[in-house]
Amino acid sequence: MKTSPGTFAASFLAPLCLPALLLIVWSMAAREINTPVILPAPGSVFDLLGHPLNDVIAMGSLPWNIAFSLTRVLIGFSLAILAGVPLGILMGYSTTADRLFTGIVSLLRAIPPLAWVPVVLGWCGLASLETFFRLPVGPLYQFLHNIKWSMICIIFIGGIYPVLTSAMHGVRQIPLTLVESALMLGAGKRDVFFKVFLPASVPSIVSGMRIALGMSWMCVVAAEMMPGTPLGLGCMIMQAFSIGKTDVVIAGMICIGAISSLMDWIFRRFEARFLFWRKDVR
Amino acid sequence: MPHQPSETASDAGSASVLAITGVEKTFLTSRGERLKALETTNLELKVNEFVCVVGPSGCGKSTLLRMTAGLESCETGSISFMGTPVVRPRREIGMVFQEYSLLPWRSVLDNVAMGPEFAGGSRADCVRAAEEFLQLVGLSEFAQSYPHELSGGMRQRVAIARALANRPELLLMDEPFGALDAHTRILLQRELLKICQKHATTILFVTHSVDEAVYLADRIVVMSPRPGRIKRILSVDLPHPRSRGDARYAALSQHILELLES
Repeated sequence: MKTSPGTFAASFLAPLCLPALLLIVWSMAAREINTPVILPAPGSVFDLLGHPLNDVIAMGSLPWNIAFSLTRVLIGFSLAILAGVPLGILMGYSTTADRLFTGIVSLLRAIPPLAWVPVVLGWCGLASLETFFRLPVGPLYQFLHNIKWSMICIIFIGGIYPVLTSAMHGVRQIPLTLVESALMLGAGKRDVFFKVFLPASVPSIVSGMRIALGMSWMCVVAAEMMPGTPLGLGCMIMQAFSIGKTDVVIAGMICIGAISSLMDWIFRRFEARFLFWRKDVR
Repeated sequence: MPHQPSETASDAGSASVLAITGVEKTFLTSRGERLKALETTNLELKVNEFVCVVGPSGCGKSTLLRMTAGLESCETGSISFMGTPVVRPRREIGMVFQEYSLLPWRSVLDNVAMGPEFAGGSRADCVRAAEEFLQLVGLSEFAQSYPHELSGGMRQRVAIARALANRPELLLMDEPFGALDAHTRILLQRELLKICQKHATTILFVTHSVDEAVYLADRIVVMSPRPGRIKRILSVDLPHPRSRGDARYAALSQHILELLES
């Protein structure tokens, strides 16, 4: 938690300094190069961002594509949390579970999520959420049809290791005195787990989730470059690249950056609101 | 038990709360050697007695306390509390640690309420018990604060209130004031004695400060290191409140320091 004085200049203007500088350098460089395919002027990029409802390179609007990417990220990320947090806590808590899983986890963790693309495509094919729910043709069908399992898998693989590792370390770093003092007060095994281990590991789990969210965005863009869907930010970036629309590429990149930092900001708000005590636990 | 002066069992009327009989402790070092941490030890605590164990680090005093708490096992001998052996932590034995024992995500009130809560008490009962003992340590207005907002001395007062809220019959204290500055330490020693007057408890208190032991204890157990063993057990017959300027106080302190050095 930052404790610097919360003046307006310090908290709002300082973070904007470097982006502003970047913008100036960018517009100067764009004028100098004068080739939009290599570096479009900021104006053309912000024109795209400023008219979000316009169709972009025949792929629908920016928000429409964002919606697909965001849905994929949220599903893959949620599955990673659902699997990673319990497994991580179990590995931190029980020596037997640790011995059982540590080998396979450290083996799989070293494999980049993108190396999984060929096999995941082979296993999942073009199956989507729609295949899973077997919906009648309609707007929801259209939407779910474009949420492919293969993409969710890649995001899941990218997100699970940070969550798992941080949950595990969260449990392990708990001071022994905390557990012993609970035992001395008459805590049973359930009390120790739910009232000491679990709350004590939340800060570590949340910071793992923040890393995992970043990974998820990296993976979604790569996953959308796989065949099977004509929609999503990653897909849009590839499409724009192949037809030389660099301004669309950069607009897509800015969207990804903005959304993932907004989501990270939500996590930081959560930390400030609920984990104000965490300095003490280290 | 060659070095132990025969303990006077004259006041036979008072029952013993804790009986440590023939207890030894051996640790296995990382190189696989057996290291004797504690030689055969005998000690008995009577109801409402305040016993301090004093000695340099490595004399096994903390080990002895942890075994009494049921946090560590003893291979040889036995530790019995009110006639039954201590093999695991139990509700009737409370403990105050040196530091980091409050749950940082719980308010002061919820920390003090832990014991009654683990015992399955209703929320109202837990809160009532917690409030009562917070008042005892003079921290009622900090009930809704969090540990990180308190000073070290206040945290230890919360830890004491929390241990007492569980209504233990024996309170173990492992260098509870060891991490505090000298001034706060003296304040808390005075306060602990006051609490003992209002709320009678048998206390086994471990410290490396001779002054602290002389100020607090009814009896002082002097230990020597490597391997840890009891060197002498001394009764302190000075009336409370004790004055550090008192000649007998100084003489006793000096005597214990000499015992520790020899």
